Amino acid sequence: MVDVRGEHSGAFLRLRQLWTRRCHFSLVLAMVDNPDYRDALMARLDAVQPGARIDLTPADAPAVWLQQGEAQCAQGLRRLHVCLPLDARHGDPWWQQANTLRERLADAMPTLQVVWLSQADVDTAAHQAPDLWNWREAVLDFTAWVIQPERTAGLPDPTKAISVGTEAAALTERLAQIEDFLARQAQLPDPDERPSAHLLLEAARAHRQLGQWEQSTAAAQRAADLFAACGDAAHAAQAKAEETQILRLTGSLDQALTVLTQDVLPVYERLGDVRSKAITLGLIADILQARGQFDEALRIYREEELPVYERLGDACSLLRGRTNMARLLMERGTKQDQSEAAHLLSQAYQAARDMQLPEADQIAALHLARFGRPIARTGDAAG
Amino acid sequence: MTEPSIWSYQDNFDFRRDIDPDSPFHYPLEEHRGKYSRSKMLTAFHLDGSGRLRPGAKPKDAEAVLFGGHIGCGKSTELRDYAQLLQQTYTVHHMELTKTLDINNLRFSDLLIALVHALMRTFEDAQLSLRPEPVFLNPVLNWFDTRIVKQERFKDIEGEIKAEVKAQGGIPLLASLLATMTAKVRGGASYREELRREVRDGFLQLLGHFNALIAHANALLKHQSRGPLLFIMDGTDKLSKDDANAFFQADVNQLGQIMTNLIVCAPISVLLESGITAQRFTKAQLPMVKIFEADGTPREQDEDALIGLVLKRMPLRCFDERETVRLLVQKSGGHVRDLLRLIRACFSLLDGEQITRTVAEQAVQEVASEYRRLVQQSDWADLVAIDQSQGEEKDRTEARLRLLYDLVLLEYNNYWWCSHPLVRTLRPYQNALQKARADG
Repeated sequence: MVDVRGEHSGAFLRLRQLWTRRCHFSLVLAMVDNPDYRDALMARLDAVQPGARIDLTPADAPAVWLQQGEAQCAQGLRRLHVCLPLDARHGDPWWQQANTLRERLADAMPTLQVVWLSQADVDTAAHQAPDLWNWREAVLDFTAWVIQPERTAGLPDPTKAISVGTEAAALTERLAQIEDFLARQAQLPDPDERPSAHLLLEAARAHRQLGQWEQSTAAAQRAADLFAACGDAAHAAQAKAEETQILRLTGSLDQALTVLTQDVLPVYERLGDVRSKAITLGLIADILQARGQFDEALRIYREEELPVYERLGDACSLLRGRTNMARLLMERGTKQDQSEAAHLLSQAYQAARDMQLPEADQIAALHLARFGRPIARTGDAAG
Repeated sequence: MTEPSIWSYQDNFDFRRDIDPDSPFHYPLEEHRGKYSRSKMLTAFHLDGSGRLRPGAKPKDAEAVLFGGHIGCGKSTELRDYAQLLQQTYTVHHMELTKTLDINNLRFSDLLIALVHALMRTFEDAQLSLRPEPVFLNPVLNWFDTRIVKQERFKDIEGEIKAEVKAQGGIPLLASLLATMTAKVRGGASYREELRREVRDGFLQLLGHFNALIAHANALLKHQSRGPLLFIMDGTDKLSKDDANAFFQADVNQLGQIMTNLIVCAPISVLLESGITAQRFTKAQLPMVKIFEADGTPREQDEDALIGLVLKRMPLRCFDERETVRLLVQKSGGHVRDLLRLIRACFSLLDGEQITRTVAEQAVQEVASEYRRLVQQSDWADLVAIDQSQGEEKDRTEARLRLLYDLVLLEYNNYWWCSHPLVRTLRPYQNALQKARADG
């Protein structure tokens, strides 16, 4: 069975909890960009508790969702996968219709529904189906596999897939050690605040990975406060940025954007830390992309993020930034975008191969899935 | 009693010799480098001129300084002086990388290993008896265990660690592992690049844990009324120009993500190049001993200081007269290592028991000829133009940065350039000067 990628382990744990515990109407939106990976995640859930599956084609109206769902529920199933097409984006009218059908969808299917859909569809749903959107239990992201280094800093290597169960046990044990240290510190008249802040930041990441979002937010906030009290503005900003990860995961995109632009970015600007600033701008671009503001997100990639990595000679961040930008272009999807995306992926792939990074395989897989042909290697044309 | 022969002093001019603040050869030059002052560096660490914490100030815990200057201008000696001043307030690790790493093939991963190793030595220091909490130490240990020890391709590293050290685990194991890794990298083990790649690629996973461990170490030191950690990295200025560009444009930014006090030695070209090199680092520069003004007027008291430096190593009776020493000082351009080089050249030309003016002039010719190969034909006219501008000409072109790196062009405080006095004795320079005068 395909492993859950490291960076998705938290989201998957949360999904598994919902899958096993919900027995009334619950709508979970699961963003995914690879049908094979989606099927693998579904199989993992079905191994825990079996669920039914309905596949909607681009031509199917929202009413088909209702009809097929009703039919499945009539057979007594309590869990449902609803697979929307990943290679075609539903237009505004489709989601407007879905919005008007929401009451019937809920009445006819008093069960957990995991809707597997593209990021583009999530964006449209948020804007065109506001009432349905407000009924969402969670929005889980199973797409973003290659992101800025700081997002994975301190986490288990995302390139080496680890079984969720093993990883969860290790993280839980680590959290217990951290909690023990913090509890002992709390008894001291003059506790060591800065080391504690570092551990709290680590705990925030671990809780996020475990899908424990409230604990993650609380730990990140405590870390940010402690770092600020120690006068460590850079780490305080890092902790604030960690807070926004949960805001993003829970769909509070506006709030995440506010924190990044008002509490994080100005700190790095003041400190003259161009690299951290570029990484933060990348996070902002991600959120803009999720809100469908493709042009602004692209501008940030093009003018503010990638040029910094180029100037710093940070080849690793550059290839990851290029890959992210390619994903955005593929999502926007004009003919010119496709060509530029292919070029960016090719550059990123070459750099990853040169550095012998495992991302090379992932970029090749992304290219193959999107363009239906293997990525060109330097020198292939001559051959 | 007969006086020692001049030949007994020859080794005193070996410029590879380390000069500590308490060495008999130590000669304070701080006052003779123009407007250079140690206060920039010391203030960055909240210290006064004697190395004491300024009233009301707290020690820094993540200050980073890039300390640069011409190769051989006295940076290492100055850094040893700084180390002595700084250790009154900080827990200083003076890392002389030329002794532990392969400076001709240095990568960021090597420095990271050296830093972790230095931290482990702090924990091993019996006088300090620091006992780090496993919650901070274990993630770092686990990282090395997963990345290195358990990898089949690096199995001989584990094989070289003694069984009893393995059994002890913890700090002794990690210290031993890091010492072995350093030896493997320096010795050019067949898997050296793989080892470096493994360390480099996993750096971001280690970074958070390492920063936490440093913060914890600082807290433990504070409980013992000791100052926070401060790492002085000497030797990184000795990288080749290409390696230096690569290192100081990319690798040093990774180094800057490690939140501790750092002083990193850098070649002068890195300090002068614009751009965003090492944005976390404050830059401090050690200029030449300023033995003349930009218009060429000699500064006798500064010449006398360098004469004093020479006479600490060999008595005046070994020269025919004091003015012979002055000639060598003037031709050195205030560059300490070149002054030592000139005297060594005198020894190689010497028959008798005294360095005479004739011998000194021959030595000047000989050392000057070594500079000939560093200057390209197109450089001569530019060197003359710079000298004739009397300090006004200082546009940073690529060619000039190369000349600065190669010591053909020297920088003085307060920031003007002129060509090395030895270079000015060369015929192509004289030809270019004549042409400039004729054209002018």
